Amino acid sequence: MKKSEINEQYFVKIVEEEKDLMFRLAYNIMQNIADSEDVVAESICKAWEKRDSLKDPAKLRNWMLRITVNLAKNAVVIRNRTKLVEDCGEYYSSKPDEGTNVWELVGELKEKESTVITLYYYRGFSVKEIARILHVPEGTVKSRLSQARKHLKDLM
Amino acid sequence: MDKRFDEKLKKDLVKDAGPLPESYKERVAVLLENLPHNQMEHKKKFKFRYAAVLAVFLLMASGARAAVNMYQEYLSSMSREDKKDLNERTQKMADNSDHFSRELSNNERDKIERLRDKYENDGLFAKEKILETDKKSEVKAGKLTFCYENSTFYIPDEELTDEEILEIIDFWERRDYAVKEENRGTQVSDKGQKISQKEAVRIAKETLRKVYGLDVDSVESSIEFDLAELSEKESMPSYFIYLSKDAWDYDTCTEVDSENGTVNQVSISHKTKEECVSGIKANEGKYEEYAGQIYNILSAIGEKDDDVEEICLIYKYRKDGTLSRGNVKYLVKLKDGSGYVFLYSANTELVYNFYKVYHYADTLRQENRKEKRQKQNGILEKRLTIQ
Repeated sequence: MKKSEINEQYFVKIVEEEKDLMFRLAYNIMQNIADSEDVVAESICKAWEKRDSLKDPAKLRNWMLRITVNLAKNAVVIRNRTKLVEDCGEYYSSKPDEGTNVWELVGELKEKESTVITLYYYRGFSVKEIARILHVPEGTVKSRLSQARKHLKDLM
Repeated sequence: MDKRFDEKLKKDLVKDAGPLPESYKERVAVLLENLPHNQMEHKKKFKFRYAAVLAVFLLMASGARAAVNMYQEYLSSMSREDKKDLNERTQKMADNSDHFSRELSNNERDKIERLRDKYENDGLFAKEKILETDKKSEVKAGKLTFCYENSTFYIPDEELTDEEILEIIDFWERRDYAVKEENRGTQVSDKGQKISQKEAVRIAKETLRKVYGLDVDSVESSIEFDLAELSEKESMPSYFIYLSKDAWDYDTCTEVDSENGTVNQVSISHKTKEECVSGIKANEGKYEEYAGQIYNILSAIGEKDDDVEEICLIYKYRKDGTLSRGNVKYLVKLKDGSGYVFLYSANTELVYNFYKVYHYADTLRQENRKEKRQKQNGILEKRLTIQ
């Protein structure tokens, strides 16, 4: 009997669709380009490597987004304990005549808040969908969104 | 909900997003072109793999509780014997992943998604439980069966019916629930770690007692093990210990290195007050005076006063003299080049987070970069060096 697997075509399709979001989720946490690229690269490799362990192939998208956030959180811990060898480069920058880049403010938020803001407002996921991606209750997502809005308003 | 704010935020996030870096797009393209075709062996880091497949890093203990609904009630009605049996059979499985006896069609994948939603939210459960068997030789052709010997769902050649899909979903949910329940409190494996779970909890309790004066008797604890990987050969194992008590104003999380028992990080979260708020007038004298408390905390976690080279106090404020995020940072430089970062809340008047950094110079460099960027946005910074 044949083993079932997520085929390469489907995997590539999902990565292409979500690579923008994955980068921004990672950048919110890592705050530099090089580290963010590393996190997403590792997420893609990990998702490919462990694709057969995904019980429900239709969940690949949510699963990859969750892997990205979790790996970024881990990477920050590692960064606190390792030596920086190069300047890693910033991505968002505010132009003096255009006011603050809103993504810089999002980067100032706690990770839990910046993640839900990005998923809800930038990508347009619903509260229910975000709860599934992050594996938290819907109430928690709503509460984080509410706090994030409040803090963003303060920063703006 | 503020509709105008929401609309503006959505527009601004898209407008300010900018194109992705070229280096990033190229890197992803190369990765996708070279996806390895060999099945890689899944690493079994944890015995209780269905409870902790991904390394999870949590700083704050969450106070949120899942809403009770039909789905939760259904799972929690599982008998002790069923949970025990399901957990034991799952742990004995040699294969770390589930398989299907044939490839699922796109229609079947879509149905799984739709029916899972109804299962979780609308109480649409399977009429029967899936047939389970321990041996491949016992599988009957054409009948939906899960075989533990090779972790495979044997499914009919014809398109799966809704009932069959619900039986599969139901099996996944009951199994996850059973493994989680049966291994609650023992999800961390301290196999091979120099510091045991018990010792890590003791260290966490002692730290909170000394640093915050908390009464740690009869405290509730839960513990997670994290194996952050630096490279293929090097990893950083640590425990995250969540201690809580009704009488406390805080939820707490302490990270303890499982190799040497060092406290790497402590985080406390006030149950009713926010640590970061705007509108608080900066009070430099108070923050300078508080540096004495930083020394006390360092001493409580085993650092000697003599090892401290300097403390740099940093606070960011707006033109009206109010703190920009309601917090103050203390960067502690140790003589060996490492250091600590302390975050003090002007609202709760307490250090709510502190963590060790192994290269103080890099931490300072990152602060300098942030300062430049924030100055452009009208956020000013004051730094004082305290010996």
